[in-house]
Amino acid sequence: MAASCAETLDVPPAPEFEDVLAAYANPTAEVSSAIMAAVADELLALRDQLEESEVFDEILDVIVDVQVELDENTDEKGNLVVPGLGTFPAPNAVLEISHNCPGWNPNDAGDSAETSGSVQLTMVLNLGDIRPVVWGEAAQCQFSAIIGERALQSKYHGEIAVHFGHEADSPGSVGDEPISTSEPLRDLVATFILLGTLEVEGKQLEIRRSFRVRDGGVIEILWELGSEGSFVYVFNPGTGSEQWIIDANCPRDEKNEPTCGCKLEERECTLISGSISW
Amino acid sequence: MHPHLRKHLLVAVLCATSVGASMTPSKAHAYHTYKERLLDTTAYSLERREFRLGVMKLSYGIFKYLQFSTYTVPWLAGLFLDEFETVGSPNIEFKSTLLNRKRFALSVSFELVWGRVSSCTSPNREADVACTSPEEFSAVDWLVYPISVTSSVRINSWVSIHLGAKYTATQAVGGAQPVDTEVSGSAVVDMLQLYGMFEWRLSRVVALTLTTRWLPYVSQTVVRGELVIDEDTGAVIGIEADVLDDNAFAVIPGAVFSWNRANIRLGVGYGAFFVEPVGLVVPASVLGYVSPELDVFVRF
Repeated sequence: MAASCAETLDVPPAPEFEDVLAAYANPTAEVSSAIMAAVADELLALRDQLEESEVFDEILDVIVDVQVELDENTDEKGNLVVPGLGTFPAPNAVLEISHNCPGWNPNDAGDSAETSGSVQLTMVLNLGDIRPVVWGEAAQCQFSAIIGERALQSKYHGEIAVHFGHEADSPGSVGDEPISTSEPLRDLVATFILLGTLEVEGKQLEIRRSFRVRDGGVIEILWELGSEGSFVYVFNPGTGSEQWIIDANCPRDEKNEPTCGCKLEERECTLISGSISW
Repeated sequence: MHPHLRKHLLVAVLCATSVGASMTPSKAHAYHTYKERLLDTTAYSLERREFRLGVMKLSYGIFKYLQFSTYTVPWLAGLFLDEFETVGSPNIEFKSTLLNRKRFALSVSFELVWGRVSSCTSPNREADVACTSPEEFSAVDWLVYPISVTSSVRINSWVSIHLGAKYTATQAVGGAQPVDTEVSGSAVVDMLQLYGMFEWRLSRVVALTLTTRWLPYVSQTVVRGELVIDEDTGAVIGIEADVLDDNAFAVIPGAVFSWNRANIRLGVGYGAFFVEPVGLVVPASVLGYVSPELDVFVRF
């Protein structure tokens, strides 16, 4: 006799972002010469690696492609229409996304997950909207970042978690509500947590950090110092002169803009209390 | 399906029914007697070599206390609905009266229903442009297998009470290949139905019935599909779907008229429509809270 056992929708738990989001909104460390002397080189290396690899773009591309597909399959009433399966009004759903990475040679059509690596992500729909956290992992994911006229061979291997949120009224804060499938994700604040190895042109960097990509391309790196709290380093990729520090004494202004400059290459920050160097 | 073939099939079904009605009757008669009991929503089944030929259901007593049945409407769906396969929805049901004492009877039944619906999913369908290639169609196959346990208690010669439970498991598998997207998947839903029928025989011809049906449990339905975004990206999607509400119910007063061979069963009640042939339920709001019962059959 045939048997049937009805399933229940198994929604896997998403990584927690509460503490990370709070740390971005309220950095508690008081940046000093000693602190910067201890972390600046590591911070600079991470900044360069992020800037050159654009790993966030590679991950965002995958998520946005899926979102666009969902949006195209959602009618004006908010029903998810899946041909052959039915129409689902404002459904709860789980998507297990698989992506074969493009590899280092875009002309090589033979690239597959075995040679170029892959990304596996989980996206959850809550009443038809996308829950703010998308997460998963990359397995030896190879991709090329185009910087100027150079294609830099990049690779990421490790865990991925991305939180999407609207800018909130309070400076540095973002919302934690589900996102409509029709809302352009790239217009939102994307807060990443990467736990893995990021490689650019053979140079490997262990990364266990959170960084944030804002609309307009500004990137913020959350730097946690343990018992001394955390601060946020802000930079605008491609414009080496635009760098800032946000800490307990240098909060964002009412327009959500950082107020204290900091140039890592020149080993100098201009804080409210005065300049520090290391 | 070709119109002529439809007509021939309809004629064949009608002929089968009328031939059954004109055949030499066996010892069994259809009057409400001590031996002849109601068959639907009860624990009783046909005698060996006894037939029931009806508009809704065809049955045959293979052995004493074991009957084979098939519901006609799912088959006929193929004649009237273009979306169905030509053969409609093949279905079989076995019912066995395991225990039949003077005042108590107990039966189990098992049914299997298969069907396929296909529809045009071409983007041009709204412009009345017919689908021309197989890639523009999507199809859903379903398999339904209800299993029932029913008990019947004879209070006295005129009054009986019938109580039962039906567990219906459903699986649906669909596939589609629209223009630039490939989707396929499956869904599973299980449900439990409890039912009871009060039977009051007014005469050997007329029996009044009051049937109640209740759906205390419907499993969460998860539809699973595969979504191809592009050549490098895909997703397995699991969607929680609310097909039915828990606690759907129906209360149906009715009557069964039984003559020498001919029988009519009819009733109209309030609530959801419990579709006996497939063990499924149409929500009450769809039919305006009208829950009908109807069958015309001969038994010989």
